[in-house]
Amino acid sequence: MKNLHGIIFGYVGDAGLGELGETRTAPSIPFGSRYRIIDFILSAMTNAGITDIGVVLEERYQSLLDHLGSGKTWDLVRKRGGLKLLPPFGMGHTHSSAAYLGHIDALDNIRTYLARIREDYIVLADAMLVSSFDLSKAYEYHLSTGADITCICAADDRFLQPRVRFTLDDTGRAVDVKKGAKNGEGYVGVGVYILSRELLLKLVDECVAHAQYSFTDGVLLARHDTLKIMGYVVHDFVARPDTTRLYYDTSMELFRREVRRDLFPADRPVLTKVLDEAPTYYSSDVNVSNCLVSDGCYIEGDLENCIIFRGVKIGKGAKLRGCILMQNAVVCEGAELTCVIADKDTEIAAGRMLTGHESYPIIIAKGSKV
Amino acid sequence: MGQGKECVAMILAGGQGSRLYVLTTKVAKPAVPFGGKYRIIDFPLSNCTNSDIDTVGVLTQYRPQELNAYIGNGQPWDLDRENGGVHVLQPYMTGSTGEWYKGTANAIYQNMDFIEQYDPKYVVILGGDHIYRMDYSKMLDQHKSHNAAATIAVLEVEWEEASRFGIMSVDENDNIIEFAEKPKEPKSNLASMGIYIFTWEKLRDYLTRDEADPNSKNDFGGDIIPAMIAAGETVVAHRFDGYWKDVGTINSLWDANMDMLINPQLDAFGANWKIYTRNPTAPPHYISREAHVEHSIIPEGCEIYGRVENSVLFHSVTVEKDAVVRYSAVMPGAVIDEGAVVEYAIVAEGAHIHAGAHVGGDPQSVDPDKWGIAVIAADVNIGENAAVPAGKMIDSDIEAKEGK
Repeated sequence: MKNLHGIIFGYVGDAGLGELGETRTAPSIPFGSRYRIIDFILSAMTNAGITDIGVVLEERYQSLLDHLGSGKTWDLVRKRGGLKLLPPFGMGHTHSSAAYLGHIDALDNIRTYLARIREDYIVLADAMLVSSFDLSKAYEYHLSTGADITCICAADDRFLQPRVRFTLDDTGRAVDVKKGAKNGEGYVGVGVYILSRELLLKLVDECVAHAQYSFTDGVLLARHDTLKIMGYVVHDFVARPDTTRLYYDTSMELFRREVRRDLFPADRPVLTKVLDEAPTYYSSDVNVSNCLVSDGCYIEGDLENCIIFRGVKIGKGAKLRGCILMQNAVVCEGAELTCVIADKDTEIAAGRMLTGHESYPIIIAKGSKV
Repeated sequence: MGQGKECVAMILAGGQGSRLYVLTTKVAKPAVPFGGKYRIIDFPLSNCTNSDIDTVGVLTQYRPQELNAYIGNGQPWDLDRENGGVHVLQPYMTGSTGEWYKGTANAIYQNMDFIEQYDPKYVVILGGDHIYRMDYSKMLDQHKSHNAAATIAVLEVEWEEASRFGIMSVDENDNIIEFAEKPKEPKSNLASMGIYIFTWEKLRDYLTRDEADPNSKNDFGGDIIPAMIAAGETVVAHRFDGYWKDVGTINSLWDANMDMLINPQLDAFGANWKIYTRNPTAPPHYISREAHVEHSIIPEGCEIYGRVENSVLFHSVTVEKDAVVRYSAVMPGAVIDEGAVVEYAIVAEGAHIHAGAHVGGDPQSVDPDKWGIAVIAADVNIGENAAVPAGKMIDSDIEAKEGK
């Protein structure tokens, strides 16, 4: 046992993902041709040897429940520990609405769960993280530096909104923490923190007593003088696709061989629910260029710079450029699509033309027919 | 003693598959990869699941490790059950005696205790080396309505091919009146598919008697069925008209893989009869700008930078720039380096075809009598610019040649 417990915040308060986020909580949004965004952090945890993981749910989580199931995919069906889903208790004394006021509020909601955790250390993680960084190395770093809190930071922050920025000294200690600073020195945090269970419980109690419900405000900003907060900088590919633009740009990065190698390392595989699809078939006379394609597709049209999820059908003479087609989308003969994100179970009728732009991809909502 | 089961399936998966040569030096035939993401045994196992048979014994014998590990607890086929489920059955010792399976019938005889614990009415006997989709429950319905002792699935084959099969002669009610193994002058063109349903009570009697007969070869086709017919038992033919292929030879294995590209009857995309498999953990496949792909099957984990035509790739295959793969089956994890050519070939798991090497040849390029499918065994390296002619089988590394 790793003596490390995972807590994943399976929701996002302020995702700007339009229709993609209407039918599901953002971490459950399909990404990368066969995954859901939450698969990356879940797999990072299990690949680091974590066997006990709690996923905090907030709202619109049916899709996430369906995806996570018993946790079998991640080998998290265990007699001891395993995957625990933590929906809102509905009796919060702090407020009456479903939405949490911040991560501290959410953690207070599961305080009895936290108190019963058998591991001494806890990793808190946002589920919106697309990265396969080696979490076990960050944990080793945490233990070796004797930090109170270790914050995972990104060396490359092109695909992250700078929510929290850490100024680190030579030893890696955070000497300053800023919120929302666009540019400037220091490293952008990726929303993953390692700390002891004991400290976490203490911080939750203190913050709630002072009506500080945000982890960033109540812990990182308010206490970086008194706590030893260390930054652990990862050089892996890191993205937080919480706006349509970031989602699209991050997806297009997957065409780079080095990004795929980084995101899908052979020894730390990203696991996702199995659908038992047949392998993909390409017919004769197709032009496929620079595409990422999953199983179960039947492709008779032309594709360029596309991300194709499982079970997608592309009819003859269809031309797609810069598109993301999610599970079971059907594009009929001769349709022409440019920069379109088609959600699950959508259908584009024969001959239709839809044109978005890299800077503003068109989203077709789940189950729609065009 | 478990709860009773109406029907138990037994899959004969002990065959060495010696006619697959280098492909089965390390694994049993049923564990050989097939059709892009499957293994041969996925077909009978998935057919059982889809036919609502939830109790399956898999009889292994030859090189069972990989097959055992592959089947595991049966979860991919939904056969991880509290009562029933899939069980791998090995030959075992009883007291001071014990022996390998003498024949197909003896294999079942030795596992009678396994069958008895479910107290079944019927037993389905299946081969582990056929590619097909079939609803055994329909066959069972026919077996019941005919009140048969045995029902044998048959397929109409071309008359000229009939002498390669076990041939059934039937009366007007499809009762089998004669069984002939590979007859020189076939009286019928109904070939046995190696799929049997028996009423267990009857089969148990015949197995016990067959075991006591020192002259018997203990084979279903050769001994049990003829004995039943001779004794006047009701033995019925069940006609099947879908796709069915024995993949016991290199050529038929290659053919069956190529059939996956065109065969609507084995429609891999039919959602109601999925073939389940233990899924590899691999990212989606990538087709690059330089790549050209046509009439091919490509599963997850592949990285394609070269040409792939009329081929079945398996997961995690890499085809580098300017490499060409034509009319071939390339199994999991194989790597085809820059400028290499693979045609009319089966490349087994983890093989590495280095830059500029050439494996296999076009049927038009050589004497038709000498032509054949080239086969590269698992984990073999074919060195830079080396050539493997059509029909050749390679089971050890070939050194690099000077540049052309």
